[in-house]
Amino acid sequence: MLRTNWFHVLVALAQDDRHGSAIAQDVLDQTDGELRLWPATLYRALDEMVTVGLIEELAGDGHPEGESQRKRFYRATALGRRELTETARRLARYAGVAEERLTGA
Amino acid sequence: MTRRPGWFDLLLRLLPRLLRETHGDEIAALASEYGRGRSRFGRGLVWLRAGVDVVWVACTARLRGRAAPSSASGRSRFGAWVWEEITEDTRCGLRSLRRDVRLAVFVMTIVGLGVGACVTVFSVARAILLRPLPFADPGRLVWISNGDFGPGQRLSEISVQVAYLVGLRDEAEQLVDVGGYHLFDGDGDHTFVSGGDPERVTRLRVTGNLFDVLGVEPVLGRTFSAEEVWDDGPSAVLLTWGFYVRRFAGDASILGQAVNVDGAPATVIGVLPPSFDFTSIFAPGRRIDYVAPFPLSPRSNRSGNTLGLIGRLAPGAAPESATAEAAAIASRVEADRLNGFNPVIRPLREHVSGRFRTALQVLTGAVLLVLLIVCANLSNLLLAKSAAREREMAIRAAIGAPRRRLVRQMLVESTILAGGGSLIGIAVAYLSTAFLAGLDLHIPLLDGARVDGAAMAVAVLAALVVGLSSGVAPALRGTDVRLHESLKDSARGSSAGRRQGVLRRALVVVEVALACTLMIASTLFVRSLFEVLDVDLGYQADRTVAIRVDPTARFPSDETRVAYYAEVLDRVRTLPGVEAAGLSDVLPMEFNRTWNASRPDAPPEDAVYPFVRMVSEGYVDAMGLTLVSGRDLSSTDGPDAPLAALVNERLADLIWPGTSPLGERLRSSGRDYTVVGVVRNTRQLSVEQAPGPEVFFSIRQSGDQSAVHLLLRGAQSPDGLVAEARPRLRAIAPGLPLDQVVAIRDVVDASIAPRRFLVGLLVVFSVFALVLASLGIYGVISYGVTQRRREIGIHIALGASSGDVQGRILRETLTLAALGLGTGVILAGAGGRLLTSLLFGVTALDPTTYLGVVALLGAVAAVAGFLPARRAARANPLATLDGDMQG
Repeated sequence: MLRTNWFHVLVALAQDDRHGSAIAQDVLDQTDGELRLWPATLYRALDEMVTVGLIEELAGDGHPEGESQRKRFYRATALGRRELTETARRLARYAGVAEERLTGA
Repeated sequence: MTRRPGWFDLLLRLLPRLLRETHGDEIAALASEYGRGRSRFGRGLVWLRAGVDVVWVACTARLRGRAAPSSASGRSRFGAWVWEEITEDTRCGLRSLRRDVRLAVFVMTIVGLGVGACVTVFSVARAILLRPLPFADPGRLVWISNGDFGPGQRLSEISVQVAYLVGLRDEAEQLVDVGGYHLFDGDGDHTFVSGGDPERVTRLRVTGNLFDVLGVEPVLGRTFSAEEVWDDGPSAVLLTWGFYVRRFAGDASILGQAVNVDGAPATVIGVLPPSFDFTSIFAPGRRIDYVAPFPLSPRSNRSGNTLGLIGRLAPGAAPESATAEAAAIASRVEADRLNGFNPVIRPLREHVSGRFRTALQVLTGAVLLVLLIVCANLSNLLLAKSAAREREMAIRAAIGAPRRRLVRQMLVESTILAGGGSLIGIAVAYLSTAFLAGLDLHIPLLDGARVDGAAMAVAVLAALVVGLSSGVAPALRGTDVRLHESLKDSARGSSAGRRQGVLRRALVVVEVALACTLMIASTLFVRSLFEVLDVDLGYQADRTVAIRVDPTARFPSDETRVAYYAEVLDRVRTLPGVEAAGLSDVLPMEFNRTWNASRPDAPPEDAVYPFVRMVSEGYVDAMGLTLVSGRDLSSTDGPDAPLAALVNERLADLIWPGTSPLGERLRSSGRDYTVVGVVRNTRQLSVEQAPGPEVFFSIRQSGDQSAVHLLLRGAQSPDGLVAEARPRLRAIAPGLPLDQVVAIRDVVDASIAPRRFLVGLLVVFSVFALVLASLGIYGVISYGVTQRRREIGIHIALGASSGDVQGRILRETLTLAALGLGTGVILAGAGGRLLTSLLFGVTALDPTTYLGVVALLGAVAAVAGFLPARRAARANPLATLDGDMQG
């Protein structure tokens, strides 16, 4: 199971490469504003995810155009995508069980 | 660069360097972005929240930061896994505590106070009973007394004559060496001159080998040589460290110098180490300035019982076998003109602090009760919290967290709480131990009490025990949830919730029981203290003050001595504030000696041993004694007049039972006195010991006294009396040191100080226990009311009056309280016998105490239950039910 924060960061990076504050914004959007990643938590999570190999930091010339050079962009690695898929499936399965029991009872 | 508050930059510095350097600006930028479009106030809040986040990350990064490199450095995968799990648990624990900061602070405070009390008592007990005495191989040191040595013992009876010391030293095989010190050196008996004003100093006389027996080496110089310990040998003194620093500012050039002691020269041959704290061990509350040798000679032998003996056991010898051997030697030595010697040998530690053992055991018991109550209280709180978290646990269980994991996390949570509590506890203990050690309570070794490594270990251990034991029940209960039950309806009491209710009630019963036991015990001690304070001392302690007035030089003749006394009395008696003035060689509760006394015609074995006081006329009034019959001593009872004596009622009863002693002859120490008056009994040794026989001789007719105290009685404060008397006394002899002043009330208070100490701590503990127990009751009842608000609402809707509702809840409360109180009373009754030896004037099963405590606790419980009951009764039934439908 992925940590909650990591899960949402990977969701944010599932389609596009993004920099830190864009990831934070996307997490807010994904969760209808329920999960706000506070800055230090976010950047530490990013560092750790890089270390573990779930995401990678893009080298300088990989920046999409129009973004400032100073911002670091991140992309989900193959491992990251695999873990995300795995966790998403599992959560869906649990949610299904819960749903079924709640409606069946 | 983004604009950001300066303090935020400071906070960023807390982050690990790598994170700060790569992302510091980005972190600030994102925080600033979050604040965009908000009011000034809103932006401030966002910065604040981001700051909290930084601190949070900084704290937990240290925990996690270590996990990463260690797994990389090839530690076993299992080890890495365990570490990962622990840090994860800690992280979860901290996060969940962060959600309820108030609870966390409250819990840490009560754990802190409980642990603090525990560590304080431990530190004190350790200093007094456990830490080795500051001598070489202290376990082999023994105290050799003449008969049993108890509190307030008469020194003349337990001290030993020189010949026996010599016999033991030379003949005993169980004892490697035997030394001793003179027991009758009084405070400030000597005058010390070495430049500057003469100063009253206190001497300790020891046998030449005492420092070898104890294994104490001087820090400067040497101990006494063989010549110096002979009769009339060269005069030599050793300075104690305190006196060396105070009087000579630690100047080592004093070594080998001659100083003037009592008008005669003496050489300073050495300085004793600071660790040789003789008074703290043997004479708490006193001060020793210098040490002089006490010769073991036929001449000193003639002084009778003078010495306290300290021996060193041979390897493998036991105090019991040494006692048997010493008795055999004593019977061989015993000869003409020797006092008896009935040797009792016990470990030195036992002699020094053994009599405080029971009191410290009581305190330890009390503190353990407090800790148990803290455990029960904490357990209770965590149970309530776990009930509130049922849903969270159910969801976590649903998404795959094994129960083991949930249990562990809750244990970790309570351990974190307890850990935080133990930090507070150590701080509390540090402060309170320092406070207690600074009190002048006349308890040996107490001033050495401090929170050391062992005490810290106790704190951590106590915190772990509290954390784990109070976490277990909530962890097991809290995680035992059936998924659908909890998710379906958290408001309606599930069966798990009901079982939890039973457990919580049981815990409250335990709390009340323990608090009740503790309160009964401490009330018994409080009542004992009141009884002690209420004791009729036989004299009026409140308005009398004593000034030490013995002159610096020896008197050339009896006439000059008597003239001096007369002058002192004449000069102060006429002072306007002085109602009565008198002289005495001894103050109550302090120095004591006994002489034999009998009718002149009685055989020697009929002699009794009254306390002896040398007093002047006016003493009876100055001390506030009551003259029962006859007359006071008078100024005419001088050297040429017939010897006069006052006796107390006890002595009169012993020697002349049933008849008046007035005019009778009394023989004491070979002289015959005429009894001229009888006074009421007084408490001579301690407030708690019954009065013994006492005889008062005229100070004008005897030169056998080491001190002269002037006792003044007046309406003014002691300080005022002394200030008034000082100039007059100075006029007699300009160099007369008048610095030794003590109010009799203080002397009496000092003798009660250890009891006050015990009572003070017990009262603090039991008030704490009472507060915890009432909080426990309040918490449980209040929680129960919240849980059943729907049921209560229906009752009210169906017509139950609010009085009915309140009544039911109060009944429930009182049932819990009654169960607890019953158990507590039984516990207290069972343990009461252990307290008997420490109680005074009250029995261990004193019914008033039991009833009072039960009534008080019952009332407190009723109030604690009444508040939630009133809330429930006032609730609007419709709102309750409505809220419930929506909830």
